This record gives sequence, C-alpha cells and structure tokens, in this order.
Amino acid sequence: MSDFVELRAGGARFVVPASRVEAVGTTSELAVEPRSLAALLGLPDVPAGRALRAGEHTFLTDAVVALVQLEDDRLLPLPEWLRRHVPHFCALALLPDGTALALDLDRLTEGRT
Amino acid sequence: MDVAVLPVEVAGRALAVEASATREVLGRCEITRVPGAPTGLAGVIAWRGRAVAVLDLGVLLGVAQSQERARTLVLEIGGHAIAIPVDRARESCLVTPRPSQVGHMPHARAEVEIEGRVLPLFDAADWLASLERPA
Repeated sequence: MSDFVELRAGGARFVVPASRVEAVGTTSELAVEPRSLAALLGLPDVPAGRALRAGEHTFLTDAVVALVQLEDDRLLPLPEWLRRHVPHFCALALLPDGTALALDLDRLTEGRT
Repeated sequence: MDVAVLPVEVAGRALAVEASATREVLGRCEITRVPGAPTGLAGVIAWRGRAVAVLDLGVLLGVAQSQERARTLVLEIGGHAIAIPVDRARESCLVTPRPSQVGHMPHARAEVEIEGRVLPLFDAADWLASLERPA
C-alpha cells in the first residue's frame, strides 16, 4: 500500500507519490513562481488552482484533490515502448472512482531546471 | 495461405484484423487519455492487471475523433498487448490475403475479400513497430 496525492491539471486527473510532495498551497503561500503542470504536459491551462512543491520544483495545478492509498496491484506500469513516447507518465492508477495517470516527477522536470 | 480474420467496423469503415493475435473482445472500455501520445494512440486501459495502449483506428484512418466504442479488441503481438475500440466485430472467417491494390489505410499491406467486399487487412504489428522505431 502506498500513498498518492491526486491532482488535476488541464482538466485531467493525475497522481504523484505522496512521499515526494513537500507542500501544497497557494502561490503566495509557497512564495514561488510555479510552472504550470498543464503547460508542461501540453494540456490547456486552467487559471487559478493550487501549487504543489516536490523537491526543487513547484507546479501549478487546477486542484489538489485528495490523498489516496493504493494497493500495489492498483498501479499498472505503462509499457516500456509507450513510456519512450510519454516519459513523464509511468503508470495507470486505478483509483476507487476511476483512473488517473501517475506522473514521473523526475522525468517531468528533466532538462527544465 | 488462408488466415483467420475478424471483420470489424470503425466509424463506418470496414476492415479486417488478424484473429490469431486477438486475445479477447471486450465491451466498451473507459480509456484514460495520455497527453502527448503519438497520433492514433488514444490512451490506455486496464486489462488483466496490465496497462494496455489503445489504438484508435478511426483517428489512424482520418475519419473520426478518438472515442470509446461499443467493442474493444485486445491483441497480443510479440509480447505487447494493444487494445482497439471498434463499433462492431463479426465472427472470424478464413480468407486469403492478397497484396493491396489501392492505398486503403496506413499499416494495411494486404486486403481480403469477405462476402464480395474488399477490406484492408490491418497489420497491428506494423503499426506497433512504427511506434517502436526511434523517432
């Protein structure tokens, strides 16, 4: 069983490992200029929302929805050949009320520091 | 040489898929969209504890937007599973493929004749190989 943070960006659902999330708040609360997660993923940008800090990176999301616990078998790794095309996603998460893509935060920020 | 094919229909277009690669025919599946995925790759579905890439033939054919459809074929090719949503899937039949006379669609090098209709024989392995090649 692992903890994940469910969030929305560009109208879509994603999860990130809770262990990587250091803070959640407004831009002013976090006192940083976050990058839009939707823009990084090539999705339409939705104004407002919450910022999420993970390591040295802070992302602006549409919303940070909930903390979810997932059994290991509810996280299905994407096929390797597919990951080569979309390296910032690592798995399909089977949430209690639907599905979401799990973000690979390290790959998402590669070359963007 | 005869091969078993499944005649299917996608957005009003009829085509055939090799039956030997087909592992299961599911109903409508909820597709999780994958932003930034290559053209024709609609997203992923969960199937038997695996995340399986979804190919939308409607998009590949240029006749429809990516969408969920009434049936979902699951194919296994070289250890890779892929899912293909279709509007209709009929019973498999034995046919003799012949080289394509006209450019029906991408990744269809052969055609088959079923009940007087000539259908492109979609080569899922060729499509998959095209994605696996380095960009």
